[in-house]
Amino acid sequence: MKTWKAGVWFGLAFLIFSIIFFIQSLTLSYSGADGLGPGFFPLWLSGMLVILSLCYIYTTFKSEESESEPMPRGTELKNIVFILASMLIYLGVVPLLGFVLSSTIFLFALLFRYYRWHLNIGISVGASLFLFWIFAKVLSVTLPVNEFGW
Amino acid sequence: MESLSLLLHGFESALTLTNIIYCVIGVSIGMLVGILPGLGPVSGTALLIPVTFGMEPVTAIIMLSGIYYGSMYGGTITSVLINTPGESASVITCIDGHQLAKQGRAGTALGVAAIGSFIGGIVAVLGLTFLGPVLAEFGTRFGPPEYFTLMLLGLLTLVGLMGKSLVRGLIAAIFGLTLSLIGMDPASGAIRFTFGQQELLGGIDFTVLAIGLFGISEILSNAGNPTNMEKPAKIQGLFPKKEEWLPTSMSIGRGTILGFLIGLIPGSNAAISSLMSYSLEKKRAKDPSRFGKGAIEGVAGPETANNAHSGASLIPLFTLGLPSSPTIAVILGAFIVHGLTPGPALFTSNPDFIWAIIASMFIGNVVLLIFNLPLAGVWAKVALIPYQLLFPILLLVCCVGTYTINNSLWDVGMMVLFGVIGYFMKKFDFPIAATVLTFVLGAQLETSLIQSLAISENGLLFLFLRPISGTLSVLCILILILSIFSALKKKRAYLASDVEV
Repeated sequence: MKTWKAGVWFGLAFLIFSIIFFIQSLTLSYSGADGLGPGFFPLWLSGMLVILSLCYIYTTFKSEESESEPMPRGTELKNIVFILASMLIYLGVVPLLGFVLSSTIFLFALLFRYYRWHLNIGISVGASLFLFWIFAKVLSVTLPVNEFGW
Repeated sequence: MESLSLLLHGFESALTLTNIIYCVIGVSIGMLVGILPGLGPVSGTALLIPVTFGMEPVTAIIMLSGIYYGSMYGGTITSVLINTPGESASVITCIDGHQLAKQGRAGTALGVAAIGSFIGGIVAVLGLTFLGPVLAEFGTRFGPPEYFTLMLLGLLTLVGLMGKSLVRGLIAAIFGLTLSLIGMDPASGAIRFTFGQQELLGGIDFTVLAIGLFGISEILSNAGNPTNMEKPAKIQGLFPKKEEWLPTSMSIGRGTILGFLIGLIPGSNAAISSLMSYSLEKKRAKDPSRFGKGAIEGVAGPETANNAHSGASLIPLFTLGLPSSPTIAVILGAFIVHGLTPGPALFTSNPDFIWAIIASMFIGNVVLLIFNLPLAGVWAKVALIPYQLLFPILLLVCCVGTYTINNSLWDVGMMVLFGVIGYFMKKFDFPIAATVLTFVLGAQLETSLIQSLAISENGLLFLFLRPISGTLSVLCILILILSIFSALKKKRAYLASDVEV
């Protein structure tokens, strides 16, 4: 079975994006007080993007040359999914646990494969506290914190 | 001569203790950003914008531009010592720079690069000093049609002449423009493309987009390829041999002129300057075969060119308010955050500000020369931080930096999303720089086009009837035709378009 080239999928994503924006632009008024309105620019842009995405999909589909960079597989895919999942979980828990604790867990998880656990705990706790100190105390920016203030 | 007295006045405000400290902090961060993999000047400057909220505008911009030109110096060190460019403008330096290091002449390569960078940087700032006011004067005559065509020209240069594929470049550019439309339309107040999300009412924050597309995507791309660290070469003896002085200084001279001129072109980037300088040096050499085996000119020319470029590319920002690269776009964003509108009026309305920034760049370049000549070895140690330790911390810093812009976790989520998009754009050779630049220019492009059409009686033809916009329009069409032609002929010269600086 012939599988689609990865580039085609990426082109399809652009196509869907531009079609959604195109349909949305139709609901905005094309003319305004000074002649042209808020719908004019988006309509033309998304229209062009639809055509360009189709061009891209077509040329990628037709091209004989093999993809120079295939879709991520194996370890690479695992690493990327792991990083992304860690970031999303981090986003989820940071309002509950506060910056220091969630950051420690986040760093511990990402460093787990490279350092032994006791060293890892040291690095994670140290780096989180250091970043907290720099941002919250020295630069006095607001960070998401737990009810104890860290 | 008026420039000189204004410049002296600028030194007065740049030489306050606070400003000197932040200038040194800025160039140090620039060095770090240039050296560390996974963190480029775009994310570096973008991450620090929230930190500058409480500062004086002058101090803030002094620090942020320090990061920008400082990163040009930093990238060289890793190119020479461990054969890994810290940023794209130093890619070409790896070739001869690392060969020199293998021959035990790492010190010479770094010394020559530092001197060249310094000369290139200073000449570019001198150019800004004397050309800036003239260009700004010229810029005051620009109306909406001129601005529109100039922006269009810059964007077409970027996607038309420098990318791998015209279609991909255009998709990336229009994608950025479309994203910039999200939120409330400043002209009519209409709400566009928010899909009912409160958070999108104000549009997507530029910093979120830049950190995601450049910073996070870079870390994701590195996830697959473990980085092998080479042991850095030893540094000894910073100056070239007696007989190399003349050719080296010739290369530095040529690199300065080339980088400066290319830097003025909107849409060009520093990597183009260093690439072109390298090929120029190779052509001029009596014995081109030395190149690739440790020719000192192959380090001197490109390293000078990229610094001259980075200084010169601030000229369109200061005089016309137009960014020519993503990092400059971030600095433009910082101007706006601090209530300043870059453009021709800035020289007359805020001369103190402008001249203090320019003066600080002289100071910054001197600091960088000191960092890079006697202290190069210290910085080289930074390159030894293992990547597996670095990347989780960088991710965390990106999260914190993005969060602090609006104190919003939604922004951090958007950053992750743009990280994924940027990762795929890199995979499939879409120029990210085009997306980021059009995103910044989006609102301005739309307004200037609508305004042009409002004063026009014959539609788009109007753009061709005014002398300046007419010339620029013709240039745009020429570039478009040229790039379509080269795409059809498949004779595109591949010039890296997707570089950060």
